[in-house]
Amino acid sequence: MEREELIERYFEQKLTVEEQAEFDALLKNDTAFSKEVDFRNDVKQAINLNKREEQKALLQGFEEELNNATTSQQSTTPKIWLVAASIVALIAVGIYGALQFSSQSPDELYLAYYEPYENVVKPIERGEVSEDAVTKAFAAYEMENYQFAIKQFDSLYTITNEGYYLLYQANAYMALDQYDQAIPLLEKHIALKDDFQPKSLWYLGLSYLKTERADMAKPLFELLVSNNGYKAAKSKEILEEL
Amino acid sequence: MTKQTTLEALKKGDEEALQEIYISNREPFINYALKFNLDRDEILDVYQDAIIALQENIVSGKLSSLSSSIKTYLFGIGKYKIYEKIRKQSKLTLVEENTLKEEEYDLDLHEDAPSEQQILLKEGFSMLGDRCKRILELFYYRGYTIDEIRVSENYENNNTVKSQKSRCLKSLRQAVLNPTN
Repeated sequence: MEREELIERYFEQKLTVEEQAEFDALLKNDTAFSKEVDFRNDVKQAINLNKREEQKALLQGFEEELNNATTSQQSTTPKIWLVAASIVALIAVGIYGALQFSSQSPDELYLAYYEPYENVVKPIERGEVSEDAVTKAFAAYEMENYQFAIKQFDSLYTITNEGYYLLYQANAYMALDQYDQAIPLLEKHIALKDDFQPKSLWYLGLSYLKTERADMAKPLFELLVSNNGYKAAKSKEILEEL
Repeated sequence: MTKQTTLEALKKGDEEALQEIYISNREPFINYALKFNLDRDEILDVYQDAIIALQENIVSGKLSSLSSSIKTYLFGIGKYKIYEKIRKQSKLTLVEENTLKEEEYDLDLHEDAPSEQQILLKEGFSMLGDRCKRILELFYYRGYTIDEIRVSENYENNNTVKSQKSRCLKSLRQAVLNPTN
């Protein structure tokens, strides 16, 4: 059988036992043939990859449709609330002036978007007896005992050099409104470029918002949007408000 | 839609069927995944990848009938992907043991990162004309035979299908040789 035919039937998964034996022998002994089969397998994989990207875009489209549906649902709230809201708005305009009413301030944005990064490192079972330093640190963090958590994360980072402890330590500082402490830790963590990096970009952006440095926050949110991963959608929302 | 007709619709690439599966399992999956301390964006990312893997297995024929429900199968893939994500992020042993067996679900999730050649081919493929894309996709992705392509795409005979296909492969070969063109 011709080689091209053999390769075709291989991809059609229609090789008979004899043809399969012929195919295998060629694959083993004939470099040109095995190279050609490799090439076609690469083509197949390349098309798969391409298809995955298309599918991902399609699913993200479904997701957007769902989000739009929820937003329009929210906007059909009863009219009475609209009336009430506009009265409140009028008063607000009267008091604060039109400028402040037109968009959310960085501080308000911060409040709207900030929540401490969840503990994904060491899930704490309720009632678990805390033994090791890692458990103690995260238990304190989850119980909002931030002062203690900060000390623990600090020594854990010194011992293990795991970058995510910097992220959690910074988050604990943020929860205590100590942004001057949080910012250098986040910057240090970002420089390590580990898998948690996008999280620190997000929290550094929020810290800048909170400390009225929106100009420094912007490029961070832009980066998250262009990475199209962690908090990309939320970063986009913030950028639209700024 | 019954389980079997859903599988058939997904195999054909029916977008409505895909959307229905996507929406009906989305909330249950999010609720399930929240216990792993992933945030919503991360969960949706995993969920979408699981849906893509589900469809890929159906299209490739690895999955033609199911003893369990589609939901169970989808969650099986999703769970595996969650573990993978957490492992990558924290490099720590998980508190909950990974009890999922790939074989149970006919999963083939361990995949090497794409080679340079595959990436070049992917770029090359996206620049091909529609006719080439179509014929290569039917043959290599959907697993159509030459006969089936002739019928579905109204080619005159099998030889025209074959020569069209080999012209398209030639263009791809060139794309790899001259990546900048």
